[in-house]
Amino acid sequence: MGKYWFEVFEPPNALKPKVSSGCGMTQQEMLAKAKMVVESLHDDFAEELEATIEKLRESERLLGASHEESRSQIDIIFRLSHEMKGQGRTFGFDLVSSIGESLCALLDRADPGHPKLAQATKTHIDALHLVSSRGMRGDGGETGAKLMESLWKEVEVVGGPPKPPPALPGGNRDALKSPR
Amino acid sequence: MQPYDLTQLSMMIVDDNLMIRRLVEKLLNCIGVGSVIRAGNGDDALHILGSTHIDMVITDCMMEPMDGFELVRNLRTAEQSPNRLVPILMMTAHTETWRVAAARDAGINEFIVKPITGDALLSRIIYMIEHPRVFVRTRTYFGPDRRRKSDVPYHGPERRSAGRAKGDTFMSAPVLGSAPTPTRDNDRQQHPEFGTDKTMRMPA
Repeated sequence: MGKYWFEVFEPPNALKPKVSSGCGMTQQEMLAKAKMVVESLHDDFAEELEATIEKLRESERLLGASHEESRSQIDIIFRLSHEMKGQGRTFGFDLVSSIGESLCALLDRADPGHPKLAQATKTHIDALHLVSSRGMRGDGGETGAKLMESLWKEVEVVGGPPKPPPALPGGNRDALKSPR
Repeated sequence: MQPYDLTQLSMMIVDDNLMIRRLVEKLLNCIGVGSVIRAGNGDDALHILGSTHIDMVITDCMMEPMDGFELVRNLRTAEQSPNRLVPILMMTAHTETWRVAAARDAGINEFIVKPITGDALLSRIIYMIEHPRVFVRTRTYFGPDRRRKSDVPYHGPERRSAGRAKGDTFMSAPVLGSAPTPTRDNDRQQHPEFGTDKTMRMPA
């Protein structure tokens, strides 16, 4: 087989014939319905946010207990904050997404043994609590901007600059199993 | 604007997060998707796909024990894959270029960045219906053509080697830039494996 051997196939479009009955909804009609669905889940997310903050606090308390315990808790906190980052804006809590992004960056960049990591993590969790308790929707306006500025400063101080992207040598796809 | 009747479609959501699963399920239900099946991780998804016909898979990337990348690679390349050609839409909050490239190299069709919006999800689904990708098989890859602009004509030296420094390993799969665009009808034949058109083949 040559070095650059390849084949190109054009599979039949299995989806198009199934959706082309002439009935159904236009994209605009679908979009109008979709907006209502997302809005109906805003309150559910507010409840989910409170529960997540509790889980974050539990993990944050265990940071610094031991090196292994810290690593394990950092993984948990990263996962939870990553979820917040991915969900907040969807449900109208833009500031939650921003705080989640900042916390992910902190945990991604900082040395797990950094003496100020636990405090910086706690500051982020307190920020999430503030948003939750005040029911702050959207980006939080001026207050939100100031809050994010202070959180990103913490990230810079404790975590340092962003890490360069990893190289992906051929076949080393196992690196992708652990997103961090 | 043409209407879409999605009642004949069966879609699967693979995500370990209850809120996102609930959101996407409700979105799909409200736009009229006939059947919406949920799975909490890649393992569960493969198990269900083995016994149920699914027209489109919408998957997260961060899950345990089997994540979205592994699910996609299994679907595309495993010998026991239940459906190697199934359209796959990956959702993720990871926006780094290398992660997007990794998802593409695993064999996804389309990518949607979280936070999910109804508009973005709908647009991707409609796009996948209207613009199915051709599939490519190389020694190290099987999946949708990874080139976005495959209809851009290219005139010049061999593109696989052009602009690729020795030892450059960022992309593990061969760059397929020199492949001519498979658009000429007279190049097409019936393909024995998938019963589809084979549009082009490089000599072994």
